[in-house]
Amino acid sequence: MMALKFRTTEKNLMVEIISYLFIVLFVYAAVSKLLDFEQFRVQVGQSPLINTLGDYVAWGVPVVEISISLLFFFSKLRLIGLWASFFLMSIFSAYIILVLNFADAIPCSCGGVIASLSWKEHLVFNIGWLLLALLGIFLSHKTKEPKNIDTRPFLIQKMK
Amino acid sequence: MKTKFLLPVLAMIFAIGMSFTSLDSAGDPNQDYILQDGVFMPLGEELNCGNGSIVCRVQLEPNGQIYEVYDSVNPSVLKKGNGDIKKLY
Repeated sequence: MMALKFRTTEKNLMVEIISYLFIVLFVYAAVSKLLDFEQFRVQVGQSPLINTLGDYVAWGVPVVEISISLLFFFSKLRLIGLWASFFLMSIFSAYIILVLNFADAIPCSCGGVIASLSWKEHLVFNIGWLLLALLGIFLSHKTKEPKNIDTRPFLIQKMK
Repeated sequence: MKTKFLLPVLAMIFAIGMSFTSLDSAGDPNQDYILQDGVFMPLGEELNCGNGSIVCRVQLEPNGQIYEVYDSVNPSVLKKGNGDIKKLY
């Protein structure tokens, strides 16, 4: 029983660490985009895949990133945050795959140092975070405490 | 309650700090820009304006308007060079 408790504590710790890493990632990416917003908006406009969505993407992406990072502040909302992170990273990865296949001359609409990565490096980067989100989701499900079942009536019955 | 939010808040502050330190105000290495009707328009290429301290200028069509060139989407980052007007036509 003590060994099981120890493993649950470790899993909780890992989920917490993964949550903090996603806070850092999304806040960094969002704030970097907002600090150089004009450049980000121009870069979004240059992408033939998303330029029609224009300002919606330019404002929407940082807002969504910050919103997801806020979910990780609350332990009850962490699993939702992990699922949201998984879906957001999936969308970003899908966009990169489309860019790699159809248009490799588009500058990266990224924030901060992530913009210095090549498209392929960025895809690997995104897949890494996607797997991290999956790991967090898996560990979150495994760390759910079993419901307390009162076995006393059963035991009393057996003793009789 | 206070300690519960401490680490996430610290993570957020760390990320915001990192954003400011990695902010590149030197310019976009991929291309240059002009200001057209108050909106930054990308030129699609990085111009070679030579060496010098004179503001680089570009003309997009014959007898067309001459624009000042910017290194990035930032009105304070004018591209400098030898003063020749680059013709992109």
